[in-house]
Amino acid sequence: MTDTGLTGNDSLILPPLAGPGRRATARKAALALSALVLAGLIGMAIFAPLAAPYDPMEINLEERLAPISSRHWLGTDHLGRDVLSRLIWGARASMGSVVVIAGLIMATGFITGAFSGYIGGRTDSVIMRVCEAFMTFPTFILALFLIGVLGTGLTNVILAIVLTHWAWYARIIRGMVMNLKNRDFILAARVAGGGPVKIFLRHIAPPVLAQLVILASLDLGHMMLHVSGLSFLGLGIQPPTPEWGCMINDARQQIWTNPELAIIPGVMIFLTVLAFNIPGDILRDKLDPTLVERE
Amino acid sequence: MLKFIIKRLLTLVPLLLAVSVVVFLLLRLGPNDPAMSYLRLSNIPPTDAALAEARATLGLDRPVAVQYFAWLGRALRLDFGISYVTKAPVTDHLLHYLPNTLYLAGVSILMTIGLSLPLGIMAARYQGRWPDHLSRALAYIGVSTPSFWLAFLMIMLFSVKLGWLPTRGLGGLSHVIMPAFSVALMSLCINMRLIRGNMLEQTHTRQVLYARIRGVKEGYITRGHVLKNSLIPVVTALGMHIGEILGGAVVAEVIFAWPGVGRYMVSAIFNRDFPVMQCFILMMTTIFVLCNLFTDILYAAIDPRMRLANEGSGND
Amino acid sequence: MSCPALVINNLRIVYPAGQRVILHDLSFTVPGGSTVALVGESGSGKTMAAMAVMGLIPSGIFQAGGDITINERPTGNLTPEQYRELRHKSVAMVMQNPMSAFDPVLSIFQHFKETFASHGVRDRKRIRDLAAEALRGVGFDDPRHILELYPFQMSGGMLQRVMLAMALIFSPPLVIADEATTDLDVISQAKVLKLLQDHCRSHHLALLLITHDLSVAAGLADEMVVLKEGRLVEKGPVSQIFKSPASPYTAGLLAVHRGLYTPRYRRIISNMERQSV
Repeated sequence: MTDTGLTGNDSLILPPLAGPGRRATARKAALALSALVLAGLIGMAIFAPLAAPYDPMEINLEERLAPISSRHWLGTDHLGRDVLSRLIWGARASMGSVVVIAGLIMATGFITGAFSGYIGGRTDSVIMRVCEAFMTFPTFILALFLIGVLGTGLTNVILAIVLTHWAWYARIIRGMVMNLKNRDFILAARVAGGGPVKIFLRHIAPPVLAQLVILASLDLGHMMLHVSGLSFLGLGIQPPTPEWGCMINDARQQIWTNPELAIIPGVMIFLTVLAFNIPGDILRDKLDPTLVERE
Repeated sequence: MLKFIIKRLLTLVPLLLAVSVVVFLLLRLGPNDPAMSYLRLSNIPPTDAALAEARATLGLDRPVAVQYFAWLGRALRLDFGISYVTKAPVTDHLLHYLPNTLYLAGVSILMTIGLSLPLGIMAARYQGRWPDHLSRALAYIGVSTPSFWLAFLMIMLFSVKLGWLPTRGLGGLSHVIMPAFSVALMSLCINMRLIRGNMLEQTHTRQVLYARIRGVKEGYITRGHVLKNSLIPVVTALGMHIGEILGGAVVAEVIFAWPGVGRYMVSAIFNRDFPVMQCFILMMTTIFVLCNLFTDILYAAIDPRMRLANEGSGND
Repeated sequence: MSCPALVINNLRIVYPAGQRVILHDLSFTVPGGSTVALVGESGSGKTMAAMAVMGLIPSGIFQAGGDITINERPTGNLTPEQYRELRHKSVAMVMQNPMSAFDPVLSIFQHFKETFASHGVRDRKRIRDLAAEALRGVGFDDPRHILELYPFQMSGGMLQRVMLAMALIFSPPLVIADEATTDLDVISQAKVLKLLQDHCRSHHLALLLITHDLSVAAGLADEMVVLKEGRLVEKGPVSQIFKSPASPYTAGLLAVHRGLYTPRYRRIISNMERQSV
């Protein structure tokens, strides 16, 4: 609308704005950077034994809290362990757990939601009630409780986060399946003589899975923050295994003397989450502006 | 309006009941043995006899359904048992710490709303120009920053370097501002972009066109139509924000030694103090559910469609 | 005779991004107090012409030539604020599909209030009285009650009458009705059209009736302007065009229009109209 007062009486045909072009290049640059960071992190995680100069768990009290030097590129922590090596190995814990969590959430969400949506009826109602019950809890609070019940450790953190997030996905998948189930082309397939399982696998599963992958990838950053948050509290990976959240927790005592020990692992978490969020955000903008936004 | 509130209050009952069932089942089906924890914390050696006695004391030998109803009955009387650690009633402890958590969460919510509103409106007003780009950049950063890391960065700057703010403890503005901000940042950024998006969307609606056709002043359009319609989805989003803030408060309490229920819960997890855990989750979930009820009511108050949709005066 | 309410002179509207010309040098006049029907198929540019008159061409579309004069006031040099003041006072518009034009979160009174306040009337009581009077004028027996309602609590026909009342509060010399009756049922259509006609006649207001329905044009208009794909095909007195259209396109439109009206149908319509009035 001509809210700028441009009544068009400025007569001549104006050239198109420079805007869209610049946005697109910025977007491409951001995507490229994120891809680079993610590739780097995945590389770090996979090639940790080769990339890390020292054993991340090797305690060396003589060299504790050493500053940045040519021997220790990022210094050492309060137990004399090389920070850089711990950082590199920490990628394994962080990236690994996020991947596992995402996979498990997709699996449980898909199986439950698709089953519930396809079968329908009483079973569907019951499953949806269960989902609603799970969705009533604030996610982090429920995760804390689950760890309390199950115990600390990485496996339980993964389990806890999966159990707090699956219901949301199950609900959405179930909605999609129900929507597709009643479409005409499914009816046609049934008339053509396909069994219910075959129809499901061929016609319903593919688009639902595609949407699921997109939704999950939008959530990766958020999952990462939960994992490192729980580890920071000491509820996740137990020391001495390196993990970025844990490293920040360890550095609490040194905050007055060696603040960098708390800053550096945080930068890694920040960059990872940012690298997850940027492509996700761009993807969401492109696809469907009405996509439900998780927090 | 009153009918609406009553209807919503009634839906709370089955919801909270379902929540209690889930909590109870998760508790009992966990791999930890409450009897074992009890003995351990009481420093009683876990002989078979001691275990049997502990089980009887804790009522673990009765059928599950009976246990549930007994437990539910006690829960409704706000009796969540005795802490394995302090041997004092759990409810008293948590109710003692709860106001501090609510204080912290409350300030965080105020910050979220108070900052996201002007920033979001500004980003919409200056769309495509530097305030908009800046807000987008800030939003990306804010959403990707771990709250505990941000807390440390703030402590390093404002406490260690500048000495302006205290690092720990309960208190007034100087004590609460850092923890509240670390908790609020992510919600703030999400809300800011949401408001911006809504406002931009609203300026292109047919309602705004009709207002312009009537020669309505821009100021009236922005306030009466655009802002009002933009804020309605924000009220819905508030529910989500509250959930995240309640969770984030736990972490902030640990870092800033804020004497709230979150910090208590974390130590209870390490101590395997189950009565505390179950009271915590029920308490926080109930608060969360009540907050959601409140946002629903607020939504109905703002959006006349929610209140009046079924009434009409359709005689032509 | 009074001055012409609207003079459009060689109006050219273009859409550069789509490389389209929406209006090709359109020229016509709406004499003061008369009713002119702007007729054409969907996409012929009728609404865009109306938007140009209101000064609300959507972004991305531009006026590349020509001028518009409303009530002897040229619009070419108006500032945005001046144009805003002109809207609703000198030229008011009644739109199609009123349900999506009114804001669901504002009551009818609030819609009136912001309109009055934007044009210098701020006293709430006075606004309420003027609004009630306007609503009574379009056939509402209990205007005070209507003012308290929200748009979604009313039917399309009711809202269209409210929109009409709104448009007439300042008795603008030019009223534009853009497909104002298209979404309505036949009874409501008849009501609204009669109200339009009566008000414009009694207050000597010019009416630009944009429609694709030739019976509406025939019923109300003095003159007719036919558009096809943004070009003026024919213009002149309605009775003349109906009797002997100058262009084959117009003849085609008329033929289709007549084809709908079998004698039996026409009898039913005139019976209904006699009963409802």
